[in-house]
Amino acid sequence: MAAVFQFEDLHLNYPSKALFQGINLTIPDERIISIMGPSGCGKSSFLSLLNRVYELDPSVEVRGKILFEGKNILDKKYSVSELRKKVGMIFQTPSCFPVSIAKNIEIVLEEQGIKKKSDKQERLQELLKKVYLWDDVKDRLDKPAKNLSGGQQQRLCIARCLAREPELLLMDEPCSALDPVTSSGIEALIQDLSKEKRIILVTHNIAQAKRLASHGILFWNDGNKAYVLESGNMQEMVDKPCCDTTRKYFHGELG
Amino acid sequence: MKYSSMLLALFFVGGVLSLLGSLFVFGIAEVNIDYLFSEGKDSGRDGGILPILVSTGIIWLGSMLVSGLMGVLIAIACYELTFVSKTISRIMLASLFLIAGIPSIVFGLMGNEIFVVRLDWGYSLLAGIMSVSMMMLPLVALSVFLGIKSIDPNLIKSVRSLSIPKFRAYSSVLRPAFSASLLAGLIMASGRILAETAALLFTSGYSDQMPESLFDSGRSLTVHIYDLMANVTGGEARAYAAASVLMILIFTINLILTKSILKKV
Repeated sequence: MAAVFQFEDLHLNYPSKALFQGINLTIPDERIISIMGPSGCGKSSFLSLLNRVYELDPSVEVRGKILFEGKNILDKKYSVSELRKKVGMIFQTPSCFPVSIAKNIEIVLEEQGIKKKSDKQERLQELLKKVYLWDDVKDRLDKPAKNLSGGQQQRLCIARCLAREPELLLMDEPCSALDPVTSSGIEALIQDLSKEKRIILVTHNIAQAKRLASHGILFWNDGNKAYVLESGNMQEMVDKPCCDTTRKYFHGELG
Repeated sequence: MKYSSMLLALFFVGGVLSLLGSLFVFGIAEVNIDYLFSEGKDSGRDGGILPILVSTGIIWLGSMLVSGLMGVLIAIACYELTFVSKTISRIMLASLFLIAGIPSIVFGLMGNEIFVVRLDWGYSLLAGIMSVSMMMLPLVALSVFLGIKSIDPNLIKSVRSLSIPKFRAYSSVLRPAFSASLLAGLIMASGRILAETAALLFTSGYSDQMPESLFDSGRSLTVHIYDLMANVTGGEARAYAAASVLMILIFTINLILTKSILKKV
């Protein structure tokens, strides 16, 4: 099976804790891959490695290899800017830029080289329609994005990320800050987007992972370090868990 | 406790108001259109203060621009360094606090040595602007740094994850988030620039002639007040008049800037 990311002897150390101590893992080329596990097992830290946002904290030390398209993205020579253009990221809490709704996306479009006003407007409309936000905001594009509801803000952040035309989307619990109804809307959007892009989704919500993902990776923490407890076909993981811990986790008895 | 606090507040506010009031009443009698829009005569005992107002305006505007621009750049550098080495960033911040404690007369001496003598600008408005700007730098830079530091870390992460170049990120995306802090720093700096005397004595000089370029010497209102009181016999009344104009200037500018900052918060 083709791999999207391949991890070789990956170590990640925080000043107070060695979180990953030699992870070897292959993330296969599937449409939606779900990363699960209880709190503190390193799901978000793991995701932050994939487009190197962990570098925002200089105290984090990372060793090993992460191969993406055959190249080690942890290599300092690998352009982080190129990586982030290819691997987009959506965060748990939507964080719109403190400018207008339109400007949120136009800033990214301009970075993509789209400078002509009419081209920008056309692309803006296309992106907002893709995330099912156009009808809600078409009459107030010049209004501050912070006035949007939580779900709308998350949709805008997804549209902004799509404006970069990434090959792959990383989503760090994109529904956890939203109510169930809004959450199901975002979930439908993820399903829609997965037709065009591969998505790696961190989620606490086992039901959501079962609904969306074809491949699952379950992280665990034994108190000293975080490790991959199980990785495989999502349905098989649920039906035939490799161990009692996985079974209990999927039945809501653990985590 | 409640009444004693109120009494203390009343005493304090009353004291300040009466002091400012008496200064204002003494000085305002001398202030008229002629005084504001004509050149000085007889070492300032007669005539007006137009060249001095122009020099003060140039020094104020120049210092606000230079300290504002450099303050933002230094604040961004300090913040960006936190992602590389927190120790270096802390050393930079400690240096800013250290500079903030240096007396203005020392800035005057350093400004004189660097800009007037070494760079050979002579006593000039530019030398004054640069010296006062260096003095205001910590105030503006620290204020902006704290503003940037208080930005939601998720916003910073989002900007970085989209690979938006840093200049674009700060100028288009993050600027609205720290512009209130920049304004707060500039408000504090504005009053101090207008009130600065010692640093300007040795840099922009004493000339009470209308400046024609930034390389001309120019006297600020504060230096004018100092000169009238220290060197001009019978110059007290005119010193009070200049002080009244200075107070009106400071209050007006602070009022305008404060109004704009209140709109942002």
